[in-house]
Amino acid sequence: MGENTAIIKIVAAIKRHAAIPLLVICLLLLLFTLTGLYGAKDKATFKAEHQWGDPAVLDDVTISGQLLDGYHNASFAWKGSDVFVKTRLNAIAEQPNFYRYSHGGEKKIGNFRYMVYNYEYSYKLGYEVTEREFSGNKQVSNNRAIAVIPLEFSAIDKSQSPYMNSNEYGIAKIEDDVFFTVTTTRAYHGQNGIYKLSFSDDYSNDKPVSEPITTFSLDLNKDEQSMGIEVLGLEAVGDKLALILVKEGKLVVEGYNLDGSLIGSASVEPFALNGWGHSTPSAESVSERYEAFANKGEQTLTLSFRRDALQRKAVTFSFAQSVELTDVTDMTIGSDLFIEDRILGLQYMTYKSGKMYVVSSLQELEEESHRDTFYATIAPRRLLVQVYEKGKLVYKGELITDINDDLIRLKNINASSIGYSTIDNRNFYEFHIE
Amino acid sequence: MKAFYRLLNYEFGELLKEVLIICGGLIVTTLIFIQIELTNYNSFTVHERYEDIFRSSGGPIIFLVFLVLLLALYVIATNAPYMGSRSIYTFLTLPVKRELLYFSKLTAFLIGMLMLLAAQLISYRLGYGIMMNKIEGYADGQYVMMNGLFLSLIRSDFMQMLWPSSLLGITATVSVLVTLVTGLYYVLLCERSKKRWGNVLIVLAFNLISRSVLLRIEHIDSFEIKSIIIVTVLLFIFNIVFIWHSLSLIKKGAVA
Repeated sequence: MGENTAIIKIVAAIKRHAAIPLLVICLLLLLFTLTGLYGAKDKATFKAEHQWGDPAVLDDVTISGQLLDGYHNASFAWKGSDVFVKTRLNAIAEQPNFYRYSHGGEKKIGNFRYMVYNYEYSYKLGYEVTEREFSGNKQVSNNRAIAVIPLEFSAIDKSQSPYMNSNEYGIAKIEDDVFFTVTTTRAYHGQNGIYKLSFSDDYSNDKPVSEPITTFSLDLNKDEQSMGIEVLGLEAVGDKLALILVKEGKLVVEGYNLDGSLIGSASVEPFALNGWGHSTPSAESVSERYEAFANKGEQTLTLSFRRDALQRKAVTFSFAQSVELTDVTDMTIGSDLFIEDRILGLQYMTYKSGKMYVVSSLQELEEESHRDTFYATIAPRRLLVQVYEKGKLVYKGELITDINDDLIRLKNINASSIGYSTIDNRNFYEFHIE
Repeated sequence: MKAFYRLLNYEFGELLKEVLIICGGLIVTTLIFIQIELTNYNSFTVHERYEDIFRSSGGPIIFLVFLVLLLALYVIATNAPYMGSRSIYTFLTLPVKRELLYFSKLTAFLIGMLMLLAAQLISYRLGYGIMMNKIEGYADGQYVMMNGLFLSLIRSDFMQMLWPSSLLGITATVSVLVTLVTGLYYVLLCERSKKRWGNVLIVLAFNLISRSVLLRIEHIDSFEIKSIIIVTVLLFIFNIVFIWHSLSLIKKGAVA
């Protein structure tokens, strides 16, 4: 009896004072659990694995990039043998804003996207360049510029492509200035040039018309004996412009200051192209659609030409003094079962202290027949780093991450129920080497 | 302050046993259903991610059910003094400010809500342990995702709604949960005072709550952050109205 009353008294006492202690317990519990849960954001695996060669070649470079899905974004920086990671969580899930240049699509430079439209203007060729500025996924401005260029087009063969590369290859940006040149083929005569674009949001008339900073003649194309002059594109290297030409069968890169004065030029030969109107594809020929990587600090420009899905010819020019050819590297990336990233085709390369650094996201296929199928999209991804010196591979390494853990749920799955989205699966993005 | 402390503990003491049962019930039910969901898992089956297992085992619905139970408990607890012993007369004649009567009950309700939330988080954490315990045991653990608990937490729409990491998210969650309690208490007081037009406000508030939930449970783009901010601000305004009008009702002696 006495015991019972004691218990009742204790229960009553607890009841009389329970509110505040329980509140505190709850708050502490939530605080600890949530700190633990969210604190785990830094527990993802990012580990440098040296596979071949001397890791010392990585000592003075930083290989950076992102690993992201719709919910979070981990920025990593690989220096020597260390990997530094910073993870940011999205307040609201969002579709990752991936960009991959596709032929005929917009060219992205920073937060801006450029697109070229051409039309005839008073019997001259006119080009309208649109500039859209984005903040995240949202467009914040839309401007356009017009360049009227005294070119004559004399295509004999209608099946021939009117341009060497899509017009967007002719756009380069230095600070806030945008420059444009037309990627003319042999079929053009007259005068091409590098035009400084004057953008305006006024769509009502055709003004202001952009002015050239320099012009160059295409008269060589009139000479039937000559192999002619063709324009592949325009690139920015620090505060200089690089005009990429094919002249008399050679790849020629001309450097210009912003006032239009010529700095110098350098060439590579032989240089066989395999696109429209060019030599039939051979083992040596490369595609016109190059990828350009400029290193501002070193003042180098690397042009990566695709030979086939796995092979690249990377030519590097230095703009430090005049323009000089500094390096030619033929590289093989991956293998038949180890292909370039199907979604983003990610690759970045840079030439620094006499070495060519290449970082690529590759996908491992189970069998070759998967190559152009959905299976390739969901094949495991791996981030590989290669370093070449004087055209020879000197180092191979890999960044080990948890990216492929996202694919665990696809194991044993019925092929018809496979789904994949870049919101729910992590992808690599924006590689950079400095 | 002492009066408030005593009143709070009295109100909370009245609820304590039931709240503890509801919290325990939530944890046990969630874990049982996760266990059932995992029954057929072996090295030859598809392994869903934890956030999907939690969802398909009914985790969010179970939480909703126990949340409704808790709110039902609040309805009973609010109406009880008006029934049976009609102790409301005693309360209204206590030598304390009537605001204290209101705030002590409201605080007791909010602490109960916080306990339910804690139980939810615990059940999520324990459920992950159950899953890991099972799938680590076969196929050399090849179905285990590195850092899987963190990933599931940020990838689960439901968990991101309850346990967001951003200030905006936390504010939005708090606005919804607090409105549930103040709104419910308010509608009960209106009912007692025969002020039926309070129901209109409740319907509006409930619309906002469902809008807030829908905005956040679906994948949406960043520009809809604006809508979430508007809904959240409106909910806080509703809270102020509910509390202010509840106080004026209780001061008038809502007994009926």
